[in-house]
Amino acid sequence: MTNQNNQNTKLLTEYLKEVQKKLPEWLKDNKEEVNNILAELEEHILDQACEISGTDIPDLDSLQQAIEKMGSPEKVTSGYKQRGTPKYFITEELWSIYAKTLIFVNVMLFVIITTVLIIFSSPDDLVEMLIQNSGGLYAQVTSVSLFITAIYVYLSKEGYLLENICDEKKKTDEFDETSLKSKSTFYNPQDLLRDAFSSGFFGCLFVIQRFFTFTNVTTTEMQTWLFLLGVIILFDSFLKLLKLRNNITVHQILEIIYLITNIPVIGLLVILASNPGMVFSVSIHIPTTFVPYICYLFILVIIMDGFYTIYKIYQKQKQKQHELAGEIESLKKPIRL
Amino acid sequence: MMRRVKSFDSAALIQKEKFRKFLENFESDLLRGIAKLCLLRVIKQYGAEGIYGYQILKELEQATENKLVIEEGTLYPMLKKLENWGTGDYKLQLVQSTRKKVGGRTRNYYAISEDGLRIYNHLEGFFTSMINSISTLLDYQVILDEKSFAYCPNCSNKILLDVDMISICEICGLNIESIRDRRLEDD
Repeated sequence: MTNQNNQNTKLLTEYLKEVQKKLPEWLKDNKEEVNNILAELEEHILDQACEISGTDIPDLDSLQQAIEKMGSPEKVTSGYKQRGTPKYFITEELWSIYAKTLIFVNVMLFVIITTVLIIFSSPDDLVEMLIQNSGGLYAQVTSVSLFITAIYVYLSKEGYLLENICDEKKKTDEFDETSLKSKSTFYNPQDLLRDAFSSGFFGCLFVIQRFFTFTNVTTTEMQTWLFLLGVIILFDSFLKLLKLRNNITVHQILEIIYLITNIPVIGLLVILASNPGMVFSVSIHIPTTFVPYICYLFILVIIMDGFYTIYKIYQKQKQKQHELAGEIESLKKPIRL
Repeated sequence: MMRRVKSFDSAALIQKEKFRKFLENFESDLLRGIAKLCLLRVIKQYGAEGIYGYQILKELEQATENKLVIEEGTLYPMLKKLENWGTGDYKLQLVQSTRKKVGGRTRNYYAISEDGLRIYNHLEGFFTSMINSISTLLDYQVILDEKSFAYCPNCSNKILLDVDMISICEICGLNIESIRDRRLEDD
């Protein structure tokens, strides 16, 4: 009987773990709600299994049938993602913030590019200059808009609403060693999205500039340098979006990848420090003696950030071990009937 | 539902994927709203005591002779939406859940809220009026319990005919005294 109970518990627990994994990310941060949902599913499966077996203690076969009747974890959790009123691919609820983000970012882009052009080109005719560089401007606006749209389509598909993105609660990634409890396991979605958007914005800017020479301000080598940096920054913004997934192991892997991407950044900074003359073209007479110092400063910041990242990985490992210990305890409990 | 219908002949319409798919989609669209109405009805019947998820499914299957079947995986997200509908200033709570220990088992019991009751009455009235209106089109007869209920001519809200009944429709504010008085006179 005890053996059967253990088998039943294991089967049910594994199923519920799968369901928990598939729940939408915005819901996972609310542990109480998640526990409520899982407890409800557990009770339902047990009731169903008892009905199938015709006894108060269902056998493994009945439990299996009840779980099959409930449906796959993907099917069970898909209902929780169906939030918001569909409007094209982005829900109506997210539409206004999506539109505002698009307008704000593109206006910023236009202002930054125009400012750079005015400072370094000193054009006689601003409109003429903008027309000449319209190809580049168009490419920048399109790439950034596509990036933002892709993010919002993903958020709509996962059932995020405004309240999940603009959560006022300030969350930190801290782990309290004394109580072994996390003050918060995961990042605030608003912070992640803001960081991802700003990284993505500059990443697109640096990448696209390589194909559309706005001005003869920088050398070809510097344009390539910016392009490579832009690719790394875009990749970094993608990593930030992946952190929306509320999973400690995923976060650990992302932190490790982030550490690795810092290596080429350090390499690029060393190259720039060794060749400060490549920043500006010969027609621009701006001294570049300060460039190596800025590069070394950034390298120092990256190294310190790297140590902090290693510390975060270590903290998350401790947290994982603590949660695993908690799960083993719950597995030992028999099914309540 | 079409998904459960068996076909007995290879030439049957539902053997063809495109027909089956269309019918399944159509049924799904039609039943989505009806399922919510029926869920509220079942929950309403249990009043403040409440009813848990598995019991709701069994009640529905019994009451509708297995015609209206909500799949297990769909039920709880539906209940969650009824409990927490809308966003920002447009939030509505049609049902409330409480965790209770009954007979040695702890379960989530769902009870209809005040807002839920008002919405349900309107939806039921609307649905009944709709079925009544299309009945001649679809060749069947609907017999309404006109002694117990009236339907607001403006919004179709279902109104209980009672001596102490309010004279204003709760949903749209229409003065329904004349309807009430006329019905009571007919009685």
